[in-house]
Amino acid sequence: MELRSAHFQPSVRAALFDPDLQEAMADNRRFAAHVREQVAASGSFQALRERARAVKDHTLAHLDHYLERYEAAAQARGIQVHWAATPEEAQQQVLAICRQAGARRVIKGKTMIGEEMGINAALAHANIERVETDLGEYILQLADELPSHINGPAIHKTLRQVQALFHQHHQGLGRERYLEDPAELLAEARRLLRGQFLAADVGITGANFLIAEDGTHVLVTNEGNGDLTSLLPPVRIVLASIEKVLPTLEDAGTHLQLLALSATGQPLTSYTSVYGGADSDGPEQCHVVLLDNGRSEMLAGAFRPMLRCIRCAACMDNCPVYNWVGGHAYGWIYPGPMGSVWTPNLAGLEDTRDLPNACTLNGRCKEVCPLQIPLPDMLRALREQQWQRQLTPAGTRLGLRLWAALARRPALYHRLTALLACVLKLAARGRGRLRRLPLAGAWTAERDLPAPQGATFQQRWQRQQKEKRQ
Amino acid sequence: MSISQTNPRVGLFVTCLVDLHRPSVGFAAVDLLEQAGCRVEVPQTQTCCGQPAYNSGAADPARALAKQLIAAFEHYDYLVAPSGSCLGMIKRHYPELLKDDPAWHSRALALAERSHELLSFLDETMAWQPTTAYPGSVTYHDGCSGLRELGIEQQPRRLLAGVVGLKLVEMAHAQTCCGFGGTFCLKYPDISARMASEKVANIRASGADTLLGGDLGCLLNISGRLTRLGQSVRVFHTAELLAGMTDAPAIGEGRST
Amino acid sequence: MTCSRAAILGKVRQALGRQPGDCVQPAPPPAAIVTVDGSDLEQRLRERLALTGVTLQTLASPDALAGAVAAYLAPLGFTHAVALAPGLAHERWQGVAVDVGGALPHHQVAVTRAFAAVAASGSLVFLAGPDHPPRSGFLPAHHLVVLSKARLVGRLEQLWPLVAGHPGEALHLVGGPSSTADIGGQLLYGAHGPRAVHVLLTP
Repeated sequence: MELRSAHFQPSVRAALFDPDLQEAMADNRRFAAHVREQVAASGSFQALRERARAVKDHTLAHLDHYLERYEAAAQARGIQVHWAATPEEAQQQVLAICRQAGARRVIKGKTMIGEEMGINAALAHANIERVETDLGEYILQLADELPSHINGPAIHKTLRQVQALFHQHHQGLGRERYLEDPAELLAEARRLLRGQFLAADVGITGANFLIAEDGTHVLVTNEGNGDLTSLLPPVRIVLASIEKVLPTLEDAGTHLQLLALSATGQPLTSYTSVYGGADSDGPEQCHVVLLDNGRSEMLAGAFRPMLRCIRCAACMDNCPVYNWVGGHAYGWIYPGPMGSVWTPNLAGLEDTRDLPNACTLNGRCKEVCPLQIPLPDMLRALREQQWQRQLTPAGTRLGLRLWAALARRPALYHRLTALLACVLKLAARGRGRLRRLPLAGAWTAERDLPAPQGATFQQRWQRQQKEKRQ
Repeated sequence: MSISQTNPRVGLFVTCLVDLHRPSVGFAAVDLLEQAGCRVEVPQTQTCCGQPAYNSGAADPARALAKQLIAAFEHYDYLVAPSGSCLGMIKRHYPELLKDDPAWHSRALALAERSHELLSFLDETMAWQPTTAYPGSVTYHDGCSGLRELGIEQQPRRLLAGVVGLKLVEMAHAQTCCGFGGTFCLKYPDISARMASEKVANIRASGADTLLGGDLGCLLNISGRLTRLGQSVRVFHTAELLAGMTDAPAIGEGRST
Repeated sequence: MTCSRAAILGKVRQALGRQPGDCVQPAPPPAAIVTVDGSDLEQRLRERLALTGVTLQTLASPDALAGAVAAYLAPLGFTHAVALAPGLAHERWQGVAVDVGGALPHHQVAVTRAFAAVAASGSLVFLAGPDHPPRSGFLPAHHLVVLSKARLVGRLEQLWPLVAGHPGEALHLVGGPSSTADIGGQLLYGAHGPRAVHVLLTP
């Protein structure tokens, strides 16, 4: 997927004034509050969280071992395991499998790794028809848009917009009515996509977890589209990044409970499925493509904790910034707090400069993260990398250097701050606040600047101490 | 060195915002600490804790300021500051910043151990109770650093419960960020303004006539949005109300209000 | 792509600070969460299932299955036979038209047996195999599930020992009818999978 994070600021402005998006994000805020209530009511969140973190940290510390175990166990089940260092390699592998199977039509479940791999564009380029089965992805396919959320990819679309899309794109299929009732829209989508499930040559899904002990993988959906995609076509391709491996099914159980609870407030996702390769009622061929694309680098340093991520989206759902600007502003596959750590790591710092900075470091994301990922610390670490590589804007660098130099000279600092306090107080002319201030347009555009009291604390304190001594 | 529990020596870190903008918060802190039985001193070599540099990724400048602050305060029984975010910096981030220098690292840890945010210090360490009255309805904004890095939530509320006549009404989403975020409000002012507007809406909906909080940055941000929207809620730092200083102009309030 | 495999594993090993020739046997992973949870399983399962609209009917014996299924079908007016999982073929099905085997696209109702159920999460557990073709739980609009009370466990952690003895094919944990909130944020049932799930609980 093309990286557009460099357009963050203009995208934000557009987002803030987009009434449809704002309506959709207000719904998301309400949904997130409901989920937090369910998490609190479950009573098991903390215990699950502690175990999950311990399991994940252990697995990451032995990732080579568990990847090899997974591969061996999967192969023993007749699954073909492919390794892709880059998205381009992954594309080639998927296309080779499709070519060999003579595939003309692919059905697909929602997979963010698929987005990373650029699989949609690759299939189009190879003239292989692709149909999205996740309803959110299907809506995006109609709208020709990119996902704005990792679990509900079309949450930025209001009901009105979905009605219009269905009407526009289903007309050619003999549907003249303008459907408004969500249940009718769903029934229409179900009918259309059911035919696609039954006629596809290849089914492509992601995987939530890969199980090292027995070579199975876990796939969760509420719609059941993941299962129809996995079971019906004769060829199954599973796309997964290397950090998704867990030691045992029991470990997956812990993570699955956290995932469902944190993502939607459910005890488990409606269809939680464990697949083990060519089944008697399933495909003839099973392939798993393992993608690295930067994870092995993240393993080495300060960003290893990010590899604990189970893609629950709790961080973005509870992030005030994400809920105001929506997912598209972040410019890539992963938005919100986790996206602001993943994107610079996977796509480079150069063109993602705003992402680690568009954050108040309020810490809510870390608070709700089921794997206790220290997101604010990692965003700060990215800001440090930007500083060291001179990617921080020149004005900021100069301002901070001056401030720090001044602050290290207390006597000079106290004199200059006394002057500043006096000047600002005079500028306010007794009104208590300033509506405008040179160089402070960013503050005063939508806020008054409260006026200082005039003398600094140090000034008054020193005066007081002198008077006491006399 | 044993700390005198009844008469400890407290180094007051007023914080750069209080020093520059609103000294009354510092004087309220002195007053309250003295009421609680502390001997308060204000080391002159204090300026800034280094958080703006640290949060912008400028680790070396931040480190220099951290060392300056540690040196200024480490010989007091306690360091107390009227700010959750500055205290979070000192307690949680100084040891991390200085982790590659063993000597400074242990000095940072030692200071962190003895550093406290003002309201939690008064409530938990000194078991101080308010002696003032306030005939108004108050709502409380929880600063993010204080809340999530230091667990400051109940302490200010317990103190306010002891103020005669004061009615505390909780606003919806009291714990949602107000949009200040240090340099965030300058770099992303449009997003910041939306967050501040939402905070203002929640304050209005609470029906309170007074807003309190423990961080001046948040309060300046919220006050600035309140007055731009023509709202008349009085904004004070919690310390000012507890010290009975609410007859003076509130944040953003002029002489002629 | 064996060169990519070597490259990726090489980078992973380097990131983990492995020395050449290191033979790594990881320490055992953290201990499992131990739960003992066996009280009121039927009631808790019923309550949990009700939250997603799954209905549960208690039967005195497997002999009552045919009657229960016939009663479920009567108001629906379907003309086709139900798809009956081979694992249930030995039960008595008088009065119910059945096709033994996996569900086909035209089947509107499937009847299958659940391997177990988890009360805390409201999950019906299906073990895929010749006795239970998994597509029967996804293709038809109505899924009738035969579940024995003896197969109820309290928490998910208690399921795994039961499953361990069956290293078979796919495992499906189903929490309710197929649902989505992708259309304007409203929760709707009957996305791609079943619209309705009904449990027949036998001793």
